[in-house]
Amino acid sequence: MPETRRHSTATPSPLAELHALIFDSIHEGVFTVDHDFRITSFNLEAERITGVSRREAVGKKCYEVFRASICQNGCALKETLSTGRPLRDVRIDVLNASMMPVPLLVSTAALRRGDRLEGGVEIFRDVSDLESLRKELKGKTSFEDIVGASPVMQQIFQLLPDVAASEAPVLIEGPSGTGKELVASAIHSLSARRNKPFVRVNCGALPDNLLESELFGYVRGAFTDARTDKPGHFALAHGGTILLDEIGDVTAAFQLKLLRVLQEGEIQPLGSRKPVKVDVRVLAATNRNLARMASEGKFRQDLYYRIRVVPVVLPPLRDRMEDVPLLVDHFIRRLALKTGKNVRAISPKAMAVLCDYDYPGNVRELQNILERIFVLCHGPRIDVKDLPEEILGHKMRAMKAEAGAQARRKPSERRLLKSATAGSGQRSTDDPVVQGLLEALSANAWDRTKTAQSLGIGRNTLWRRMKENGLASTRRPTPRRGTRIA
Amino acid sequence: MKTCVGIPLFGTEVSPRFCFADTILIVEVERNREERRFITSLGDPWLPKRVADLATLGVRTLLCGAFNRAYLPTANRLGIQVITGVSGEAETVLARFLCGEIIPGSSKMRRCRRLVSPAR
Repeated sequence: MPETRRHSTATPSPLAELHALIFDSIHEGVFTVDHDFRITSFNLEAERITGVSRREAVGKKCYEVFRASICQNGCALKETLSTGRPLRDVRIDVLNASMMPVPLLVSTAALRRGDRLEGGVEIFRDVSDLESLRKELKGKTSFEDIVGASPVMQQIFQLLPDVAASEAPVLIEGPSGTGKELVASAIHSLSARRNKPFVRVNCGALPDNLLESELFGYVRGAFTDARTDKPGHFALAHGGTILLDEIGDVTAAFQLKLLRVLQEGEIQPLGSRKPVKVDVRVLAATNRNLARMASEGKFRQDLYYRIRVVPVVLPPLRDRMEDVPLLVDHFIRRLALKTGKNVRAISPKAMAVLCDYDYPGNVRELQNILERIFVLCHGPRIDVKDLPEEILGHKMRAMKAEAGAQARRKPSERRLLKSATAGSGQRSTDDPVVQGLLEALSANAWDRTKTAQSLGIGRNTLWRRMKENGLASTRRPTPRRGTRIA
Repeated sequence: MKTCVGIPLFGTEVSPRFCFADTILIVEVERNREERRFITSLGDPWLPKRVADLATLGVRTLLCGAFNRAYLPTANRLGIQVITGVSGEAETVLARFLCGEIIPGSSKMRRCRRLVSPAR
């Protein structure tokens, strides 16, 4: 084991230097402890996984650095040091320096010099990606699987634990592909019901009569083919959580039946006269504007208020474009594991193109795009040539449209565009993003509310994009009398 | 002003991680002086329940090694200030806290930005 740099004062021998190099080039975290569980060495991968530098870690007790699930009860190193037996692939989780859980597989061994026990060594690897794939296969996703660093997603992350801790019904609203089911699953896995079933039902996919038998079940003889009793999804979710997906698509007649279940907490299987009590937390999701539907009389107001005790609104991806690079990295890591392909990175140019697309299909579309890229990409890095036609075509169309618009623009507008970005240090007016923003602002007389509406984004998002592109300090031009800027 | 401090225990030391501690030292403090103390067991390891129990016990400051970040807003909403990165003998830590040496953000083990990739 190499000497720790902290304690060595003499110049290390070439052999010790070689050992240190090897130690740091291992793609698994490695640390050693003395009899007192004080860390004596700590390699680079251990630094990366824990977020704690070697300088800070060496000399500390291992549990002060790792904060593992087994530190207080069932420490693997302690067992190895007391029995002398090595342990392999013990599944634990630790809290990194950001206080986020990281799942690890650890192996331990005792370090002996002759008969004398010198301490112990622990080798560990981060299995976050494997865990998340495993959970995806089982249909159990958690809080950590939702990706986003944008302010709007951070707000949702702050909200989720409290939402999960309560028993109140939750309505998750958001366009298709924004991850409503992921959020529902995270709420379930954070809740006290996490060890009970999580059942998802797509209410929009079935006609009323089928939906009723699926949700509430039936008894033998309820209809011609009902040869045995069949429990419904509510009964299957007993003690756990049910997600009523696409709730905006159910008919008025079925809305009434759902309302009764939510009010009474009991279901009546088809053909049965006896109601059955169920203990189920109800989460509902929709991509429709239920508030408007309720005000227009297309969705029962009483049901709407009953399911919308806690609303969680997921934004479309175009309103949190700063999350695109994070999502791309996340999907690349997962797809590399899933497909076994050695695709590890994306070129800055390809990332820029992905960041310019507006994703009408939201996160799901981005995921599908990357899956397609993985099929066709043969190198270790995704480049612009690997991107699908529609993304590149979108960029080309945007550039052509802009070129046309620029040609049609009046000289006064061109001056305005030039002054807007001059000295900003940001993107130039040739940049399609800046052009698009300026176009929209100009068309709406620099009214940010109207511009945001015309672009289909939030006012805050517009303001952020203006700031990013150096347009925030640009003064709205005062139109000369008799002239219009539009 | 009277306040209540909680120190989850690992033997006689501060627990490295609140959610896995079995017991907690509760100390009532007035004008930086200890008034009363007791040790109580922590039940369900489910963090929202533990945090709610702390609030019921009147704890306003929690000193611990680590605390799952996802639940910090829950603790804050219940009026509990969580100070992480605290380690060593519980008595020493309490004495340092009473002297005003341990304050929020005084954690020695800071997040190393160079090393940790964004959590999500």
